[in-house]
Amino acid sequence: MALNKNKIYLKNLQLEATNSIKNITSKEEIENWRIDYLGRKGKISDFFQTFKNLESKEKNELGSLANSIKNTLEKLYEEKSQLSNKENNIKDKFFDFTLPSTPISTGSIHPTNQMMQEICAAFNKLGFNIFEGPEIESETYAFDKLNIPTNHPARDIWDTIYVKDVKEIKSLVLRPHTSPMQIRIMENNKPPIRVVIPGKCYRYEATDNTHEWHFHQIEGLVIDKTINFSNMKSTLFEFARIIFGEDTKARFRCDFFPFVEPGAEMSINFKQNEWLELMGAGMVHPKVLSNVGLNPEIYSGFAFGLGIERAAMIKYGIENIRDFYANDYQFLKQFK
Amino acid sequence: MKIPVSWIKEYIEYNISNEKIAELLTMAGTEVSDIIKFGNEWDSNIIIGEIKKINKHPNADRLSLVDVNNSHNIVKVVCGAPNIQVGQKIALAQPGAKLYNPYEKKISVLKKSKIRGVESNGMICSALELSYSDDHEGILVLDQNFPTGQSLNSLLSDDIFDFEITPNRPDCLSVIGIVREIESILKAQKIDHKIIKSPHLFPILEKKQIHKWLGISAINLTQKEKFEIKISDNDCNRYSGISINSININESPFWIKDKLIKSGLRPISNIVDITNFVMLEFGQPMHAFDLSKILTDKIEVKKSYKKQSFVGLDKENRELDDDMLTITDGNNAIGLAGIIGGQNSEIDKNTTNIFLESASFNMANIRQTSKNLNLSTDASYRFERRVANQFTVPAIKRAIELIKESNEKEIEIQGFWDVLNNSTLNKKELKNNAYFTSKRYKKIIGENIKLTQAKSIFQSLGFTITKETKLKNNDYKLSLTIPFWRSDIELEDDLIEEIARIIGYDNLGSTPMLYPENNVPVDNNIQARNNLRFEMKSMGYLEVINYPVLNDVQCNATTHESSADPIELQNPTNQNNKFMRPNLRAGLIDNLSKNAKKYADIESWKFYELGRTYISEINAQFKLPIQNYSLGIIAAGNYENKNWSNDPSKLNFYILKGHVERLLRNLKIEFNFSQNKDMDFYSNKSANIISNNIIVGSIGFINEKKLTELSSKIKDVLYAELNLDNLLNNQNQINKYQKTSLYPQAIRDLSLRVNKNILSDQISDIIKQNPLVTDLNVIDVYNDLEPLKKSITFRITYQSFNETLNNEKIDGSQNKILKKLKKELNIELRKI
Repeated sequence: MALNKNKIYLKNLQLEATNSIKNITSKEEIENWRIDYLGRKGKISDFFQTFKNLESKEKNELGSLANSIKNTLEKLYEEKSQLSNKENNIKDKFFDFTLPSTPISTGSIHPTNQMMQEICAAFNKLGFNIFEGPEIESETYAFDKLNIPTNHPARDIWDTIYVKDVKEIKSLVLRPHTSPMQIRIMENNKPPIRVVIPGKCYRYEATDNTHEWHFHQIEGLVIDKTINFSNMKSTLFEFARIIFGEDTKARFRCDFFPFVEPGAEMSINFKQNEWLELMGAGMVHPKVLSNVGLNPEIYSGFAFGLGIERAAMIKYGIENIRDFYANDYQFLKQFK
Repeated sequence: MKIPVSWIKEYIEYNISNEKIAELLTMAGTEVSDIIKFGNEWDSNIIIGEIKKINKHPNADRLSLVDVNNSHNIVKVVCGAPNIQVGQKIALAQPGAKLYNPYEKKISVLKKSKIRGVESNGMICSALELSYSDDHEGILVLDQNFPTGQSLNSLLSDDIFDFEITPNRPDCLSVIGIVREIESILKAQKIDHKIIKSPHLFPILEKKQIHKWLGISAINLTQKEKFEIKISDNDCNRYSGISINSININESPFWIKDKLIKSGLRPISNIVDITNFVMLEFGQPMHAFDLSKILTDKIEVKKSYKKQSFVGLDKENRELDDDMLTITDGNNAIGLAGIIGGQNSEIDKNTTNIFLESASFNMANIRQTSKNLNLSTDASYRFERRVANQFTVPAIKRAIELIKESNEKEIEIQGFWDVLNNSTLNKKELKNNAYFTSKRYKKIIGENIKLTQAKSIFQSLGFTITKETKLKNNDYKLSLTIPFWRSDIELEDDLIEEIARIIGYDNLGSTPMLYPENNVPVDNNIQARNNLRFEMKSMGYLEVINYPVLNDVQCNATTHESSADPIELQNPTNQNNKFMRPNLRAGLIDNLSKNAKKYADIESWKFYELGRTYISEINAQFKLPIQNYSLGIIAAGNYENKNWSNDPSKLNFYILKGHVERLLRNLKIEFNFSQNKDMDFYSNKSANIISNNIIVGSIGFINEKKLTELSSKIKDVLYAELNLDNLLNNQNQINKYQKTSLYPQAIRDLSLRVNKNILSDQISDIIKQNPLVTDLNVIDVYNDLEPLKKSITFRITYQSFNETLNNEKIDGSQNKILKKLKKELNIELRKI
């Protein structure tokens, strides 16, 4: 009798446990279920406690049944808790893609050189080749051959830094402009010539927001048999549009540089309806052509020069030229 | 140069705005850099008053209680100025007026107030309070003819043009010069205008005519016999002068002072003011001597002598050199020609007889003297740009007019002299003809110019057309006389500019050039340098540009004792930084230490500079010092900045070596490294970079001693510098295509036990000689227990182009390699 009663009890216990586990989801409930049925003081353990009062035959039969139920429930528990872990994992799938990336520094190109590259590329597009020349230059090339005689007030335009004699070479200067390269190019190449020359220049000058003793220029030179003022206007205007945008306006006014005649200055207007002086220009002076052995009756051409920093200040909105060469980390890292 | 518009308008009338006139002038080459709105701030509360009566202030000795007529009634005003007089016209500021307060140094609103118990209904203003000039000695006494009650603004405010005159246009350094420009521009632009007083002076050289023209009678010139003028030097072209008696030295009339002040000059006394007035109006500097102080009755223009001392009107004692032009009394200098008068002949309060000088000097001499003495004056500024000699006599005429108008008594003209230096003048006067052809204009400008238009522009600019020749194809030629004031016109192209600028460059055509032909070669190194910049950027380096100069300390710390002296500057902008850098080291170390100090949060520092270095050796082709490009690289700290996701290692020699190798590989240059034997700048962890058997650069940790010398606090600094000109000439050496094998690779590791002083390259060179070895890497290096030994593990890739390699073949190769290593370097396999 007792055997059957115990069998029924066990069957009911199994049924109750199997049913109750179906409806639970949380880890905590599963754990409670385990303690309830399989724990040390759980219902299965309790059942084994009743064994001491039984006969050995009954013990054997009920024991194996109870053990098999215990195994079934343990299996159920394993399955359920694994399933529950999986469900929890799906909830944990939240991924924070906004965390900072692993640092890989980007590096930079100095704004002066970026502007220089950009300007050279624009002139390259217009058919100009790019060339460079010496920074420590002879006075002859810096002034005399450019029609700037000694003791002429025009020399005041260029406050010059002089270099002490190097071995037997005298009358050296840090070039105050890139224009000496006009002479060197014409001396070494027959026309047609179409070239821009970027590079560093130096002036004996106090530094302030808009003046630096050390700065960069780009010189341009075109020489051929039919080059005229109207070509100059068109070319320089086209250049301004490439650098400052399609809607850029340009205007030319009369200005004086001893190595050009007529001399001009180009201003541009590209966003604030404000005219900004951008570059000096003009038709190459007949005396300069004669100085390099070109006949001014046959050849003509134009030359121009602009300050790279000034162009960069206009383009990037940099207010103080001194920022360029302070080489401050925060300034430099902006020019990716 | 500042000129008030009101002065211009005494010559020419027009109906367009000052802004428009300024723009037209600027576009034509006479740049108006600023329009100063002078007196714009004077509101209707500042009016003309007349002083009617002066009473003593009842409570203060130094104050007066002044009755001022303001045209409606008499107001009582307290005033402390010493120079008030009954009858004066003054600027009366009524309550509400905005004035400059010199004590508080700001603009404030005037209120009705009690001064020492007496109510003041306004204020009599000083020039400073009105921001009229910086004079605060007393009240500003106005022109006697100013109508009482009218606003000061309506009578005295002005627009002032601030000009930037280019050095080729000294003729524009005067009122008449500017008026001439305005006249021709308005004519060409067909804008209505009217000439009130002609700006064109017609000088006469014939002596009798001059006397008549000046309005003086030669008979009355009593001093002529005993006073002598002599030009003893060719740097003086012309010396004109006049002596006048019965002069009263006094203050100038208001209208003269007003013009000087608005032009930026300080009024001094009537005679000095008149010389300045004429200079501003005509561009001819003048000087007045006290005749009674010239005791020799002689003026001689001659060169100074060495160490001659001279005291100028500025009371400064200067030592002259032997080539400076001076005005002397025959013995002593009484003036530095064209620059400044002498203190010994200065006009003072008691002067009655004066000598007025109006001369023309060689521009180069004046410029040189002015430069050498570092003394620039309004006179020298004009003379060094050239003052035409034709102005000397018209300037004297103008001065006489002004003196007559302002002197209390009738003046007596005692003598007139006009000495011309024919040896210099004839040379210069010859070159006053030029010609203009329509053909050349078309060649230079790119379009035609009509004969009538060209003629009209030339005439408006003062040129005389002497001949007009019609040529075929509608071309023409004009022969012209250049106006004497246009010293800048020399060639036909100068005339072309005249036409073009008066038409306006903006009104000329714009035509694209044809597709270019170009004989200028392409310089590949420029592109290569830009590519290097992109490479450096992509490896995380920031580009700097340093001034290429060094001070003593930097120079010593970064150059080797044995190297040549650096190039030195004569006049550096900063006396300390006088050496041109022979390498890029000092600048980059400075960039690193300054930034590391400023930005403590940054753990990884990487900078580079690509710039020139200067060596005192001569480039034979250019006959100039060598000034080649270098690439300097500096790095310190971690490989990258740290965050939650990484654990960056410290930068080490091999990381920088990898960066340098990447650059060189990109340039397709063959290279290797050699031992650096110069441990001066670098520590022992350093090497030289070799290409084509020459050293093209160096790499390594900077010697800590050097960092200390340069006061750098940062430690463990890596540096590399590449000489680009040597390097870039070796570009594109490696450009071979290699076939790929169809057969699989086999990888074997080889662990070797070697002596510590063996370089890994020595071993790998031997391994690579085996024909089946296609790749090789070092995968492990560690120091052995035995102190003179180390272990290196090589991972070797074997591959054949003909077959799949079996173990036998690979073992065979490996054994051959081991044999060779044993034989040549005494290396054995590591026994585990």
